[in-house]
Amino acid sequence: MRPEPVPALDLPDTPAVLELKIGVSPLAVRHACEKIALALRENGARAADLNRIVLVCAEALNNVVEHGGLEETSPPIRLQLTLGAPWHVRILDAGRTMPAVLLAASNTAFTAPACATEDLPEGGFGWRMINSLSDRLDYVRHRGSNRLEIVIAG
Amino acid sequence: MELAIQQCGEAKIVRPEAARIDAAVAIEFKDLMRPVCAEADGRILLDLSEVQFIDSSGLGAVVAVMKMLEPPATLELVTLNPTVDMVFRLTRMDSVFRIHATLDAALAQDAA
Repeated sequence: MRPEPVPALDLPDTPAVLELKIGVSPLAVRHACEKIALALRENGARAADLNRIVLVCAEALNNVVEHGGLEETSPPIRLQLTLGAPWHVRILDAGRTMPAVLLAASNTAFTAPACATEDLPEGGFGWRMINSLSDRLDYVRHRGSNRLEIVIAG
Repeated sequence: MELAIQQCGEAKIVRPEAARIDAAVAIEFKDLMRPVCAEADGRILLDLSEVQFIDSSGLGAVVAVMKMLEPPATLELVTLNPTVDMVFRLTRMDSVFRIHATLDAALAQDAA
């Protein structure tokens, strides 16, 4: 199945957009994050913004890799990032629909754990981290693919 | 990933020789730490001075390592770079770990 063409981000004031096709594997996500960091650095992103953006991209991409039900041979995940503030990230993938319960839970604020060490959570951080680090988060299921739009004001 | 391990008095300093503890190496990191934790009976100072980036999988792995320990063994974190520090603060996991700015500061304090 041919992937649909990705419409360009409609942001006339932001000249450059980084576009990546990312394989469905943790190592491919790592390489993508390194490319994103490099592009942000070259475009003068402040360190604090760079750290937030790279972390948000890493978490969102790893969610697709781990929970999207895709194979390493699946069509690549596509990412677009405007290289200027406000930073817009768009991620498209052909994986499973994101459970609504997960999106709702991502709004839960982090609190200092009050439980015993053996009961500390080892997971469930990713979506809440994305939510905490983003100024806007939109998820759309469209024609069998997922589209995640994230804005970090910077 | 490799771990550099050094006994320093009663503390064991464990330094992951990796720029990233991310989803690609989180399981490997846990597997490498398992034997270290199994024989630990004092402080483990996890020196993160070489780690430039940690994601939620890496964070979960560090928590998992702490849960491998039997008292009186403890896990403390040392030398968090700004990005790593941000992840621990954001998730409030900074309240779960003793965190030291430098190895000298960590070694100057006792385990109490």
